[in-house]
Amino acid sequence: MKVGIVCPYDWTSPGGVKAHVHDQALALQRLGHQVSVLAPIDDDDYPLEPFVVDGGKPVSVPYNGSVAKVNFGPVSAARVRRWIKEGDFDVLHVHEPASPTLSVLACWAARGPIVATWHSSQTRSRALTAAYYLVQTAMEKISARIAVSEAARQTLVKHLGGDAVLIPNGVTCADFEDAVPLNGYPRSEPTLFFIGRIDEPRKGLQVLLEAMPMILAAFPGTQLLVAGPGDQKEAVEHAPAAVRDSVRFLGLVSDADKVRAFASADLYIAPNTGGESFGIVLLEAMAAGTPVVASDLEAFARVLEDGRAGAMFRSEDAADLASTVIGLLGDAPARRALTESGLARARQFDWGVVAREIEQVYESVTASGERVENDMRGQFVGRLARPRDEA
Amino acid sequence: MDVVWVLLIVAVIAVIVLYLSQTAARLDRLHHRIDTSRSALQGQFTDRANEVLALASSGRLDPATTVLLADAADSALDQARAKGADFPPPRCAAESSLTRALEVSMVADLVAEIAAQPDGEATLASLAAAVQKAAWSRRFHNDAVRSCLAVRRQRLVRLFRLAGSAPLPHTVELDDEVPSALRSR
Repeated sequence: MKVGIVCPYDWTSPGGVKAHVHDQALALQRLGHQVSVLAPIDDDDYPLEPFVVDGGKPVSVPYNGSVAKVNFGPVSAARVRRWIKEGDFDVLHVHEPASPTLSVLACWAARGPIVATWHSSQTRSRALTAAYYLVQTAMEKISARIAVSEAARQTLVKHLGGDAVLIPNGVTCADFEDAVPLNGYPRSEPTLFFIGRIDEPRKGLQVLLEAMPMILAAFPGTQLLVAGPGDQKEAVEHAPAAVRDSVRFLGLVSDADKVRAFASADLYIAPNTGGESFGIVLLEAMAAGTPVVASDLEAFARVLEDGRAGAMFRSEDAADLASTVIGLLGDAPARRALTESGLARARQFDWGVVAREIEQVYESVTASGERVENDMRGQFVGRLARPRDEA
Repeated sequence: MDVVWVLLIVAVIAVIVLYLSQTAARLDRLHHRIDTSRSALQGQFTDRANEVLALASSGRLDPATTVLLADAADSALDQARAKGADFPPPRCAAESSLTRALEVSMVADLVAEIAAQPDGEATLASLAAAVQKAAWSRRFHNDAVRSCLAVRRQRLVRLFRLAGSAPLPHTVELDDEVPSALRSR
C-alpha cells in the first residue's frame, strides 16, 4: 500500500508525536508498505530520512499551552496539495488533525481514505468546539479515527462526538534489548533512574528527591541518575547535602544514551503527578528490562496493568514511594519478576503488533478501492489557495 | 439610499447562496463517505462470517463448536446475501448472534489448543483480524452517519432541502465485541 503520513510538528526537534510518526513509518515499511512522510523541517542541516518530504520551514506559535513549531497558510496548503498529487496514495494518515498544522491542511485538501490519529488529551475545548466551518469540513472527511490512549479518546469524543478506535503508542522493543550499560555501571550499590524535564513540576522529580533521604537511610550509596533538560542547580537547591551528593545529572541525553541509562539502573522511577496521557517511557524501561516504579496515575495504571507489570505508589506521596523502592531494592526475586512481566507487557506494544493493527484500519477504509485525491469542492477559500501550476 | 439597500440585499443573498452551495457540497461529500463506509462494512462483516465458516469447516474444532459456529456464520451470510449493503434488524440480530457464538466458543483454552496445531497461529490471526476489522468498520460507518445527521438536522439544510432525495442514513447497532481470547492476536 502507498501510505502518506503527515507529521504536524517540526521533524528536526525531538517530540512525542514526531517519534511516533518516525517509528510508525519504519514499522509500516517493515510490513512492506511504501511510506512518505510530510513534515515541517526547521533545521536544514538535519539528515532527513529518505521517506521524509520537506513540508516547509515552520514558525513557532503558542499552541496547546506550549510553543509548537508548525506551518500553515497558503504556501503550506499548496505544498500539501502537490505532495498529495505526486504521492498518489492509497491512504492518507494525519496526526493531530485538529491542530493548526499541515495535518488539518491535508484533511482539507484531500478526499478518499483518510485516517487520523489523536494524541493529545489536553487540547483546550474552546479551540475544538468553536464551530470553525473549515475545520469542521476537514474533520468530516476523516474516514477512520484512532486515539492513542483512553484519555485522548475521551477528549475526542467529548469535543467532536462520535467515537474512535484505540490503538496505543508503540515501542520498538528491539531498540531496547541487549543494551550496554553506561561506563562504570552497574555499580555495587543500587542505581535509580529518572528521565524528564527536571524543572517541570508534573514530571515529579521533587517527589523523588523528597523520598531520597529515606531510601539513602536504608541503602546508603544509592545513586539517582537524572536525565533531562532544565536547571540542575535549582532542582536540588532545597535538598539536603546527602541527597545532593547522591544525584548524578546526565543532562539532555541522546536516544542511544537513554537506552544505556535504562540498562544501568536497578529501578526506573516515574514519579509524575499528572498530565500524562499514555506513558511511553514506561514501556521503554520495561522493554529494556528495567523494573518500573510509577505513580498511580490512570494512564500509568493502564500501561502497568494495575501493578502487575510494574510497582505503583500513591501519586505525590514521597513516603509511599520510598517504601516501595526500599522494598524492591531488598528483594531481587521481586525485581526479576517485574523485569519478566514488564518485558512481556512491552512486547504487546511492540511496533510490529501496533503497525499490524494500523494496517487493519487501512484495509477497512480502502476496501472500496478509492485513492487519495485532491479535493476542493465546496471550499471557496481552498480554491483561492490553489497553486498556479495546477490551475 | 435605495442603492445602498439594494446592494445590501444583493450581498446578503450572495452570502446565503455561497453558504448553501458550500453546505450542499459538504453534504454530498458526507453522503459519499457513508456509501464508502457502508460498502466497507458490508465487506468486512461478510469476511468475518466467511472466516468463521472456514474455521468451523477446518476440522480443528469439536463437533458441537463446529455446528454452533457454522450455523451462526451461515445465518449471517444468508442475511448478507439477502440484504446486500443494508443492515436491517434481522441482519443485525444475525451478526450479534455470530458475535455471541464466537464469544462463548473462542475461550482461552480452545484458542490455546488451536494455536498449538499446525498453522493454528495463522488461522487464529486471520480470524482475529477479520473480527477486529468488522468491529472497526462499523465504528467508522457510524461516525460517518453521525457527522451527516448533524448537518442534515440544521434548519437551513431542511428548509432548502439540500440533501435532495437522499434517505436519512442511520447508524448500524449490533454487538461486535471482539472475544477477549482473540484480542492482540
